[in-house]
Amino acid sequence: MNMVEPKLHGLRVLVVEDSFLVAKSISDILSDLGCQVVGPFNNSADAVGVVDAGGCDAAVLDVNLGGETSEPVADDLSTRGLPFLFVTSYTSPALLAPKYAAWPRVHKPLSRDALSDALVKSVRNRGLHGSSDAP
Amino acid sequence: MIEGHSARRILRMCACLLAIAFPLAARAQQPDPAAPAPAPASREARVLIVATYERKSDSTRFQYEGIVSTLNSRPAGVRTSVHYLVSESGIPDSFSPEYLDALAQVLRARFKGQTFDLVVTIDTLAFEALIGPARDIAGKAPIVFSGLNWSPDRIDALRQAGANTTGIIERLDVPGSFSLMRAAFPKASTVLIVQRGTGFGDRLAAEIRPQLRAARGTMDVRWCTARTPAQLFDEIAALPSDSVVWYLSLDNLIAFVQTHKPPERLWVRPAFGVYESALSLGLTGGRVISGLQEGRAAGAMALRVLAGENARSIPVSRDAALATVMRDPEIARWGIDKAGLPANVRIIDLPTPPRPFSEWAREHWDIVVVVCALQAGLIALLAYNLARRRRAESEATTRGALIELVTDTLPVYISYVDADERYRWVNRRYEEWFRCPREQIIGRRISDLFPPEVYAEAREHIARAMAGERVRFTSHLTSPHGKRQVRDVMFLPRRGPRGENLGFFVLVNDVTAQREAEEEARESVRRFRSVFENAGAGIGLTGPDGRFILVNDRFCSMTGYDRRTLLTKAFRDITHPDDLSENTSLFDDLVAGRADAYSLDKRYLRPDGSEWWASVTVSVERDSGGKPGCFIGVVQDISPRKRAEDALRTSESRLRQAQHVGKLGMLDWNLATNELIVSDETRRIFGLTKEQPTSVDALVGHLHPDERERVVKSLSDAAAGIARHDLEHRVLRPNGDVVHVRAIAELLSEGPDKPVRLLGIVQDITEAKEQEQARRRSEATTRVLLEAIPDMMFRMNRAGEYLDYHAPDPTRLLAPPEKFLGKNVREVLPKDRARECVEALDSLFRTGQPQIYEYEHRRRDGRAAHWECRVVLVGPDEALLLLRDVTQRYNAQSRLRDSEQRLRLMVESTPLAVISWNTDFTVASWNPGAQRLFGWSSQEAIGRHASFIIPEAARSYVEQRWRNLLANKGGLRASNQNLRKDGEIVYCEWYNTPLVDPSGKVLGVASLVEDVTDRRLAQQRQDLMMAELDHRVKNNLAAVISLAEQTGRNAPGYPEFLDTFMGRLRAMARMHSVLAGSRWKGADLRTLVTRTLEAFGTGAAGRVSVQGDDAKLSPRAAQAIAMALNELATNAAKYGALSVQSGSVRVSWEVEPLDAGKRRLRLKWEEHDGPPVSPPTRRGFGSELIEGAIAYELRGTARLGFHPKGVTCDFDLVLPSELESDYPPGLDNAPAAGPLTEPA
Repeated sequence: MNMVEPKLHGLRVLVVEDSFLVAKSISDILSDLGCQVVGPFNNSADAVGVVDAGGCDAAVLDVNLGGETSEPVADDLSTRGLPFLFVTSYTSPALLAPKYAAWPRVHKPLSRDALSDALVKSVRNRGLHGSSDAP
Repeated sequence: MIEGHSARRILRMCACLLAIAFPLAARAQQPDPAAPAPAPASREARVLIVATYERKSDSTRFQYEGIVSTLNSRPAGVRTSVHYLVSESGIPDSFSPEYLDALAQVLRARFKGQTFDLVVTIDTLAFEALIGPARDIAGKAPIVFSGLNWSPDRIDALRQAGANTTGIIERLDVPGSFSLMRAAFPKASTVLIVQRGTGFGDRLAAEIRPQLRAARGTMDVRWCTARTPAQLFDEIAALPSDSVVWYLSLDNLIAFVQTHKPPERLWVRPAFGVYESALSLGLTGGRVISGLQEGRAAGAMALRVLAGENARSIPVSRDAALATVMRDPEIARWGIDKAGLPANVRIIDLPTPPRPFSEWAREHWDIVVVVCALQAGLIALLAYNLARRRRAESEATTRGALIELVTDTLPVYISYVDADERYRWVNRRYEEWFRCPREQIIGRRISDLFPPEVYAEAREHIARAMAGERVRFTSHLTSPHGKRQVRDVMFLPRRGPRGENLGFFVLVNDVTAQREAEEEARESVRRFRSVFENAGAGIGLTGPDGRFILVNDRFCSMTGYDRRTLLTKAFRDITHPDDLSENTSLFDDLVAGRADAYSLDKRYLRPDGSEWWASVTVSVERDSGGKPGCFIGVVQDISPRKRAEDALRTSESRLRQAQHVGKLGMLDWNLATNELIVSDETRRIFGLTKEQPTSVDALVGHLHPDERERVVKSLSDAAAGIARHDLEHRVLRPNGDVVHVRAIAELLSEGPDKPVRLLGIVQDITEAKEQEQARRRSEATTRVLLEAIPDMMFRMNRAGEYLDYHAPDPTRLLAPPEKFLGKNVREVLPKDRARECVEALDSLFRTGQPQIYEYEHRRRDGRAAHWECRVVLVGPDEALLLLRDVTQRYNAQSRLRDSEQRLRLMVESTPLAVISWNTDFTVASWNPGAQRLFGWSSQEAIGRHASFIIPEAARSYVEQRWRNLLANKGGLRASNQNLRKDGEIVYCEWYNTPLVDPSGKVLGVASLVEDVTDRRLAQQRQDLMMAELDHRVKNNLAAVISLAEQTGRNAPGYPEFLDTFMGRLRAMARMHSVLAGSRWKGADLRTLVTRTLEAFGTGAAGRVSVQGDDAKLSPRAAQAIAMALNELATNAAKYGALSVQSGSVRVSWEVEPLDAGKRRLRLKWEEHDGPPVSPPTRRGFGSELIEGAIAYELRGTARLGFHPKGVTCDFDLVLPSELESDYPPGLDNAPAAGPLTEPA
């Protein structure tokens, strides 16, 4: 089964998710899609460090990190013009600032296709095409 | 014993007895063909009376005694011998055969073979006893008996025993009793007749039925239908209050009073046995009305007898004599009181009346109130006879006594002399004349009693009287005691029916005194004339109109009028007008009889208009009726004396006045005699009364001790002529007062070295002294006060000119004193301020009321100073202005005003309800918030008790809170339901504060109230949602587990996957269940561990040991640890210690508190005695779940150890504080850590 998504191949995707199991699932899906997983991290601070260090091209962010949200990471990513999407189990956007109200998001429980599609859309909209050495 | 006897019956019975015993005597009245052959009148009739009674209850005895006494009282010629058998000992309760036997034997032994004409008994017991021996004793003599209970068969028995039963069987007089009851209760509406159900009662009832029929129109007659005492008592209780209960038999009554309080009015048939029984049962006082009624009737009857008026109309019968049994003197007295018997009637209790009773009674008493039925009639008759006799006697005596009394009282000698000149009758005057009792006079001749010369003188008159002529003459004679007497003597001849000479009555009137008086009057007139004309005084006689009737020469010359003119005038015409009214009033008193004489000093006016002083004494001459006849005035000219007196009085009074006003006392010390004369003022100064004697020593004694020596020295110097005495010193009055005096004394000498008197004056200067001291004190005080007062003061006059000032701090004066003193306020002050001041002054002088105004003054430095100016009156034209700097007060007040304003605004505008309460839990204040919350306006709410906003359900809770608040024991917060005006229930949070004054007294309570209804509802909804969520999650997990199971069943290729997957799902479900059980507050570690291990079926086997402190895990930590433990347990169950029977698992942990509520958890998993362990070749997902999840999610470590002896796992992690949420802030609808806290 060729699961690799060519548009995402080699893309360094930061995963921020507090649940060990979900983080593992997301990482596995992204690896399958041919992405290079950065993380996962269960808190904003570590993730922001990675973003600031230019260690990622895109990001999948869980909204609720248990005691905090991933909004600082999202802000950082926005500033840098990097594509990202939210993964959330909440149907209401209450946790996030209004500016992220219409931001792409994937609802838990995750499916590979949904994540893949969302990520591809995000990357495309941002005009990014993977790493420089991507074919 | 004896059911009942009335006196009438007994009397009637006695009559029959006598008729039987003495037929000759009785036949005339009551021919009785059935009577036995008459006994010879000469023979003594033998009567046997058989009686049984108890000594204590001896009404029966009285009846017997009545019978005996009646029999004994027969007229002379009829003789009876009464044999009396009395068995007095121990009457048994029932008619025991033994007792009757014994009685019969006694009868036989005592009376067998004797012949009686009559055998009498009235009691049942005796009757029974008689049946046996009747024939032996009585022979053919009739047995007379009486009794109600004697049934016909008993009489038959007696007859069969051979007795003559032709005697009278008396019956109880039931109809009589009914009449008596009706008379006693004429207004009773209802009568309840209580009778025994059978036999006897029925017979009685039959007897009174006709009467009852007659009574039906006037009263409701009921027959008792009760069959048990209880029913009876109910029936009595249901009667109207004015009912009478009429007992026909005793049985029920006794039962009744033994168990119940007797009814107020109880009519007991007046039968002895019943009545006495009632008494013995404690029915005393006013309860047993029969006794009282009879007592009353007896008293009334006795009264009538005493009065003797209607005695004749009292028949001596039962009704009149009133068979009154008053064994109880109390009742007798009560009844007699009611009847109004005189107080001298004595009531005596005679348990045993003396015999013969009637004689005894006659001897000792005027009236006897009967204590025994039978004797009543006798005594009544006795009393009646007694009274009649006494009245006759007294009438006769009265007539004789009256004549005697009159003749003895008259001041006239009255006697009757017969034709033989012997005194036949004399009155008491003669006893006085002859000084001997009249018995010694009567029978003696006139000539024996009087001296011969007297008799000789009277002889002629006696002869004429004897001849039938009325003679009157005056006799001068000397009494046997030498007293000369003049007598008016009258002989009144007495003639017999045929004109024969029966002598004469003598009337002698002693006129000695009268003659002497006439003589005296004549002499007195002579003396009067002489005195009248020769008196040195003027004498004038006037009539009651004041006109002169007679005047003497001296009076004429005094008045300046000639006699003729004077006799046309009245005393008023010549009296000085100033004295006229007093004179007239005195004279009028004489005329009116209020006085007999008066004296006065008055002025007369002469015809030339000159006045003269006279001392007048006027007395009045009255006739025998007290009417004034003539007025005698004795007049003396006192003009010269009067003039002298006037002069003296004037000068003395002036002196006294001067002394008094000047508080000036005089002293005159005669040095030769040491005599001291002092004036009244001096006495006053020294505190001496007028009566106290004075001496120099006494005065010295009153000198103030501190100064005594000094004053005495000065005085003696003065007396010695060395120096003038002039000192101020103090006098100590006896009452302790201190008087300051100035004393000056001068020596009055008749020549050198010959001092005679020391004249002194003493002046009371206390007042002056005190005034001076007061002034000094007041000045000092004023000075101190002024210095102490921080106010500035200005004295001003009415016009507004400054007169004076006082300024504690002169720098605060607006201008230097020279710029305003003497100037008008208008010139000194700015216009507005001057106007204020002038207005205040105007008001002050107009009303006298102090004025106050405040003003603001801007200082040179620009700050505002506030002054208060008080304007007060200090004199008729002067005012004082007191200026006080009140800036601080003003500022404080305005700050307070601001703060109050703010507070009020806050209270008014706060969305919270603000309510203050009085201590009685009534509303004291109520803000708009309270109106919004509760719907009541403040007008409606203020003053109402809090209950109007408290629903019933919350009342006790709120009241408890309130009590706590007042007692200062909490209650500060409350959360309860409240009631709105529209009836809706609201949930409110109350924040209460007791308002406590500085002394700690609670004055009230202030409450802030918040409507938390919405919050509560939201919370309730949230709780519901939580529960729903838990429910759904569980359901979903269950569904997932089922799905996995079903999926696995159809895809059998992956059994191991399915087992592992299912185990993990179940672990998750368990964890969820534990968390939900604690309402997501956190999972208990021990529960989590135990549940996990239990799931592997090891709980009860003792193969698992769990040991550690209590610890709460957050949901996140709980999940990670639960999953890790599940992996460990699964592994142990599959391969490790739990896979064999011998193996065991030990889970232990420690919790160590860290900073900020964090805790460090170290948990150890140890497997023992399982199969040998070899380290795994590959690390699977299980290991990752254990080590990775702990590290990733909890930032802790979990280290698996694969020791040969068993697997171990060491967890080491930091648990967040319990307050720390697993959820990011701002997540409003995050699951709460529990329901919202229920406020205290």
